Amino acid sequence: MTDRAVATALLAPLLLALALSWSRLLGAGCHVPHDGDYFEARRVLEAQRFTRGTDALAVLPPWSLRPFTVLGDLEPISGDALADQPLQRYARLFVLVEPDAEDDHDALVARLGAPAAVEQVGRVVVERWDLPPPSVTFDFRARLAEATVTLGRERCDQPVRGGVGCGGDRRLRVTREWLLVSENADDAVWSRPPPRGQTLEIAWDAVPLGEALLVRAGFTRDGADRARAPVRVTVWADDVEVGRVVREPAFAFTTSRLDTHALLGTSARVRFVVDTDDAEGADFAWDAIAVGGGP
Amino acid sequence: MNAPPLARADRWLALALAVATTVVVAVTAQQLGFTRDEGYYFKAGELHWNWLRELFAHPGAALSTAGIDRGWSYNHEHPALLKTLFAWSYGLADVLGLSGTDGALQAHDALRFPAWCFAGLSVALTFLLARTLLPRRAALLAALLWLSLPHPFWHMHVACFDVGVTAAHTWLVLAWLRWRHTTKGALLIGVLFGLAAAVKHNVLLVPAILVVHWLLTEAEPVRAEASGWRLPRLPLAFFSLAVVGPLVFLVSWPWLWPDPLVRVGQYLGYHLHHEHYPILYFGKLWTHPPFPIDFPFVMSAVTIPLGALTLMLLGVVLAAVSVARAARTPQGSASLLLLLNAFVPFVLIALPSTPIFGGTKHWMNGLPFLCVLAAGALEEACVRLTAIGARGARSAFVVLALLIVVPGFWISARVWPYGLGSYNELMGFTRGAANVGMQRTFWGYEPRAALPLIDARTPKGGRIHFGDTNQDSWRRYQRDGLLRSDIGWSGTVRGAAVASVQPQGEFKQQWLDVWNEWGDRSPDVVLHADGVPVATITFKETAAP
Repeated sequence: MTDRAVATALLAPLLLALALSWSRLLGAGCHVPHDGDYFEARRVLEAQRFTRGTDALAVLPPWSLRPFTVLGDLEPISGDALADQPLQRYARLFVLVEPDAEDDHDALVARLGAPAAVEQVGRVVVERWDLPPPSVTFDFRARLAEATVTLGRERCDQPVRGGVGCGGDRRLRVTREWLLVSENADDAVWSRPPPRGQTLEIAWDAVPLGEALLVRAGFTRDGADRARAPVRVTVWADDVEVGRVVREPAFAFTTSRLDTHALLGTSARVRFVVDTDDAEGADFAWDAIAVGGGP
Repeated sequence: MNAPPLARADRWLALALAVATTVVVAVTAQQLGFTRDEGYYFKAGELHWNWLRELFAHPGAALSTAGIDRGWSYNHEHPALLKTLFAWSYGLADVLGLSGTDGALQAHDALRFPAWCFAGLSVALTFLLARTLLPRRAALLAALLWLSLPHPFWHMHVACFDVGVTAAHTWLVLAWLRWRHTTKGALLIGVLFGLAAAVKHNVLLVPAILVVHWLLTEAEPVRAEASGWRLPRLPLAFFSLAVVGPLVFLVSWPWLWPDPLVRVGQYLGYHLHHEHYPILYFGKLWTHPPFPIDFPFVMSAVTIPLGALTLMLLGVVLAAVSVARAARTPQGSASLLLLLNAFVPFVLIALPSTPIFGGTKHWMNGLPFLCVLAAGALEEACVRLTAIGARGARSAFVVLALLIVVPGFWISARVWPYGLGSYNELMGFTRGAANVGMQRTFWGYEPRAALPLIDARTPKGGRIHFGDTNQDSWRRYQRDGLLRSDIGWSGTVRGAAVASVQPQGEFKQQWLDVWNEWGDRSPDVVLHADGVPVATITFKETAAP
C-alpha cells in the first residue's frame, strides 16, 4: 500500500470517530436536569390541580429517581411499560419527561396520541393527557384488605404488613406492596404460587362487574429464573369461570383482558385462584381492576 | 540482544508521569467512598501491621504458625504484596504522626497510598513499554491514553489490586521485551514475576504467553540430527520464571510459610471455584454460568471512549498485519507480544465459566498493551503523512492526540466520583446505559458524599442500613471521623433510622424495602452519575431529630 493509502486508512475512521465522539460529548451536558427543574415541575402540577389518587403521575425514563425527592409524595405510578399499563383508574395522566426518554415517550404517544398540555421547565417537560373518565367498578389491589384468602382449605388470616400470611410458612402470603415485577417496580398483589396440587384463593364478595377484568400479572426477575412451569390465575365470578391468566416463567408484567360483558351490571363473588405445576414459591404478583359500566 | 537503554529524558519523564498521576489520584480520591473490597483490605492491612510490629518485638511468636495465622489468615484468598504495602503505609503514617486526629492524613488515605503509587507506576510503565518500541511522543500518548480511560482511572483510586496487577503485568512484559537475553535480565524477570504474582493471580498465565511468544518468534525449529533430535535452546528466563518467581512469591507471603504446598493449593482452589456475583448486562441480571462470551469485548466497546477505542482497533489491525508479514522480525515480534498480552486477559474472562462480576476490571491488565498499539497507530499515520509531504504532520499528531485523550478525562469528570457507571459515546453515556439496562454501580462505595447529611440528620444512637456498603467500611468511616460514631449498623431497613441503598440490579430489593417498610417513596437525597441514580438516602420519617 502507498503511504497515502495507509494514512487514509488510519486517519479516516479515526476522524469519523472523533467527530462522533465530540459531537456527542458536547451535546451530553444538556441531558441532565437541574435539581430546580423538579421543583418547577411540581409548581406546574400544582397549577394544573394535580389530584393524588384521581390523577396519575409517572416519570420517564423509568429509572430516574431524582424527581422522587420532590414528587415522591404524589404517589407516582411506575414508569415501566407505561404505554401498556391500564390507566382506567385515573382521570388524567401527567408525565415528567427527562431527556433520553424518547423510546418510552414515543410508545406513550403512539397509544394516547399527543398530550393535551406540554410545559417545558428547564430540562424536563411536564405533559398531561386527559383520559376517558375513570371507569373502574372495582379495584382489587386497593381493596385487598377486604379479601378472603385461603390456601387449600386453610384460611390465611395472620396479619402481616400489607396483607395476610398463610399458616406457618411466612413465605406464603398475600400482600400489597411495591414489587420488582418490572424493572423499576410496580404496586401489585404478591401471591407466590402454592405447592403443586394446592390452590391459593383470594376472594371478594359483591364485586360490581363491568365489561371486563384487566389483570396484569407476572414474575419478578428472580421468580422467572426459579420457576419451572407457568403460573395460572383462574378468575371466577360466583361459579362462572371468567377466564384464565397464564404466565410462562418470564420477566414481564403484562396485561390480560378477561371479558365480563355477559355479567355487566351484576355483582358477584370474584375469586382469583392461583396454582402451578412447578413454580412453588416463585415470586409472582398481579394487579386487577374491573372496568366499564357496572351497576 | 537487549533493547538499548532508555534516554535520561525518558526516565525523568516516566518519573514525572508517575508522580503526577499519584498526586492527581490522591487529590481526586477524597470524594470516593470505600468499596466493599477495601473494607476487607483495610482490615487486612491493619492485621498485617500488627504482625509486623510483633515480628520486631517478638519474632519467635510472630513466626510461629499461630502468630502467622493471626496476622495473615484473614483474606488469604489474595496474596500479600499490596496488602503488606498498605500495612507499612498505614503503620508508618501512624508511627510518624502523619495520620490520626492531629495528622494531615486520615488512616484510609495512608491505606490507599500504595495503590495510588501503583497507579502512577502503571502510567510510567506504560510509557516505558511504549518508549521501548515507539518515539517519545507516541509513548507519551500511550501513557496518557491509559490514564484517561474512565474505568481504569477510577480503579486507580481504591486500595484494591486491579490497577496494581495491571502495573505488574506491564512490568513483566517490559522486562521480557528489554532484558530477556542476558543472565541478569533473566533473573530479574523471575523476580518480577514473583512480585507480580504476589499482587494478584491475573498474571499467573503471563509466563505461558511469553512461552508462546518465544515459540512463534525466536525458537529454532526442532531438527533431526545424526545424534538425535535437536531441541531449541530454552531461554534462561523460563527457568527463572519457573524457579525464582515461585520463590519470591513464597517469600512475599507469610501465610504460605507454615505449609506452602497445601496453602498454595487452597489459594488456587479458591480462584478456580470462585463464587458468582450478579451482573446486569443489557437488561439481564446474570447470576450463573454460562456467561456471554462477548461480555469483556462489548463492555470494553461501550466504556472506552470512542476515539481511544477506534485508535486501539486500528493499532490491533496494524499489529496483526505486521505479525502476519514477518513475526520473526523485531517489529513483528513486538507486535505479537503486545497482541498476546492485550487479548489473553479478554479471552480468559470471555470463557463462559469465568465469573464476570466486577465490571471491566478483570481484563484491565490487557489495556496498557492496547494503548501502546493505539499510540503506534497514530504514530504510523503521522509518519505516512510526513512521507507524502503533508504539511503539519507533527502538529496533527498533537492535535489528534489531544482530541483522543481529552474525552476520557471529560467523561470521568462528568460522573465523578461514580466512575464505575461511566459509559462511552456509543452507549449514550451513563443515561444511555441505564436505558438499555447496564450495571451502573457496585461495591457500595457511593454514599460518602451523603455522610455529612447522614451525620446531621440521624438521631443519636440511630442505625443505618448501608445497602451494599459493608460493615468494615462502616467501621472505617467511623474510625476516620467521616461518620458519627454513635450511628449503629442495621442489616435490614427495618430497625434503621436511615437507609442508603443502591437502586439497581441485585440491590433493588433493598430500595423497595425502604418503600414498603417505611411507606416512603421520597428519598431525601439521590446520588447520581449524569442524573442516573447510584444510591438513595432516605431518613425514616419518625426518626428525624
